[in-house]
Amino acid sequence: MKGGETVNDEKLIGLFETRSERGIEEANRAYGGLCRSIAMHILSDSRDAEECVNDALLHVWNAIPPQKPQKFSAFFASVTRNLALNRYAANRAQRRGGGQVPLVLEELSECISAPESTEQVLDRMALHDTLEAFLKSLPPKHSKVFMRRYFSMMPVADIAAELNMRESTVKSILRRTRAKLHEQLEKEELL
Amino acid sequence: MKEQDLLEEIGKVSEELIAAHALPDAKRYGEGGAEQSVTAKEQIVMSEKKTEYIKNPFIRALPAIAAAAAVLVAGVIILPKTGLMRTPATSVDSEVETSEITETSDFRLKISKAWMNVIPGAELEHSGNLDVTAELEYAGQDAAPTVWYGGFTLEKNGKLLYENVADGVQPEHFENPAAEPAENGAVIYDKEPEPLPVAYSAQGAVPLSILAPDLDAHWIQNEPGDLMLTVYCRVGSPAAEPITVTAPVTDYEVRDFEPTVALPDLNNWTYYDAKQLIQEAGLLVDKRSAYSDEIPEGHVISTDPELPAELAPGTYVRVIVSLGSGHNIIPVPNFTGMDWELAKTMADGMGLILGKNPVPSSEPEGTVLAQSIEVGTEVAEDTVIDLEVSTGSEQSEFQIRTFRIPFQIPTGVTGQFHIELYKDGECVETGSSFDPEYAAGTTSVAVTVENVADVIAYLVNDKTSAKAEIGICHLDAWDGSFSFDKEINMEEVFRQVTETGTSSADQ
Repeated sequence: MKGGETVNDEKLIGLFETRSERGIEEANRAYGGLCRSIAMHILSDSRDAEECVNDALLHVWNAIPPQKPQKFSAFFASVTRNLALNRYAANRAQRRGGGQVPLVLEELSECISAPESTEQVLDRMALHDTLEAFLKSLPPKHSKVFMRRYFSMMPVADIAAELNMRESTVKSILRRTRAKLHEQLEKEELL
Repeated sequence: MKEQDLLEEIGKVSEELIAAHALPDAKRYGEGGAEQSVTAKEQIVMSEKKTEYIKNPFIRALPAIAAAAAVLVAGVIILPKTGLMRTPATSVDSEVETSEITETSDFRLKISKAWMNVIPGAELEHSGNLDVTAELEYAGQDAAPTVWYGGFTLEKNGKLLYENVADGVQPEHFENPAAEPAENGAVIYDKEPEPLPVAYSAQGAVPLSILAPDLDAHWIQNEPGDLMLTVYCRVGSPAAEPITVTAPVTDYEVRDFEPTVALPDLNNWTYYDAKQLIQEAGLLVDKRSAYSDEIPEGHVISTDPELPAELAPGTYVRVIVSLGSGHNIIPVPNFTGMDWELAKTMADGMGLILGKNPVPSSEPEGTVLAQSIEVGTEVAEDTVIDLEVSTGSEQSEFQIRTFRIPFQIPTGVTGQFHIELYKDGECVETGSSFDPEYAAGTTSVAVTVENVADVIAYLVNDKTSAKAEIGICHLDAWDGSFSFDKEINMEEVFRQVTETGTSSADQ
């Protein structure tokens, strides 16, 4: 491989599998910025976000092998997101930080029962299947808006800018998609 | 469910979905963001090479000379280790303008599609397959001859990259030795020959599907020069000297090669077995549910795409899983020996309806003695099951009693009268005639009833047959009681049936 040339996901995984430290460098070059932005959306603190991404890289390094993700970018982003959310929960306990999480949680509360409702046994497998099917049933544009907001925790303005839409359109898509998700969860008796 | 649960579950959707829809372009994120990937770089290089190729004046002339001619030959014919090479008597090659087509080689090769499939993760010298769809056209004046296809070679800058040429009409079977990489990274394979006859269709063209596997894709894409394919044919006879047609391969697209996986028909499999098989094949499952009268609950009704099929990795397979018939099917329990009240409660809870049929029996009253549907029979919700329930007595359930119903006779009434009793519209009893002047102030009629009965009593004037209703009498054989539905006014009744009423002065 020529020097200075970045690698694709398959080759990245190959570097991790062969325990080449170049894998970490390349992963950071390829997706470090993206993952830092996800962490920032959650934590709104650059130092926390930086630490999060470094932790995520370590997690990924330790996970591969034996894990072999199909999409390295998605795997790295998921790990970063999870670590960032955990850190957010810890920060919240210490009354630190902010970011998009409170807004996102408030928006997602529209999709589910009122918090005061009777606790129900949550069938996580059924929820996973339902969510997966629901997201795949959406028009690609709507799915992108929804996933960028609720997976990557992007602000509405950033989504609008990236996808070349008005902010009002993004908000409208999010609102309609949340309503449809609520309907689907009700139909599947997951609420 | 809490919103945090939903947020967490969104983070667990498939990597496919995350990669496709959740992540913006990493290149937007500057330092530490992604630079062009190798694949993208390769595509850019390929694109640049195509541009250079088109600018080359010689190359620009080729289309005019060879029309859309380009042949890639699929299949490799083993060459013996002796290195016997084909020396065609007639050939058309890249160094000769193809407009000089001889009488015995009035053929043109037209490529309709060409792909360079890059195999991810493969060693460089085996990293690509060249896959081409082409047609061999006969452009001569005579009727199109039969052509025996004899293989192909692939070269670049005069260096042989791939060779698969038949040795003759009845080629020997050659062994398949290991590949011997050439210095330039080219790979030569010896494989079993494929001397298939190729007949022309009415359109005068023969489709050819050509595959040159295990090439050094990186070298091919980046090495300057033209990729030239030569196809070998024997015209008119399998013993004829072979001719060759050579043309450049242009405009082939580079793409990642994705081997397909085969899935069998999964209909009627259990969902969990089907899901496991699909996921083990590197495919993704999209579960849906539907009612079915034929397919048992939890089993697969159908899939989309329909199986069996060859699918690319990462493909979603929609699996429709049966929820059963949609009607609750209930096995009939054993009510026999149970108390009727308990059986009723149980049936209510199960969605069954019970009918009670009292039966004389020495068993304690209310005991279920028998049921109309066998234990264990599967029935639908709301099915009626009749139960024979003990009355607690072996005696008949019927009580018969004879009543004597008295009627008051007012004074001052003359004439002859009698009383009739009707039950269900029929006269069941006719009392004796009486003369009120001589009666003792009352008369009575005897009637026998079973269990409980209502009878209507009428007063009839024997002379005029005038009839007037006295009233409805309810008789209960069980306890021996009887009573009228209203207070009886016998004077009025007599008045109705006499011409002169109760007064007998005028008679």
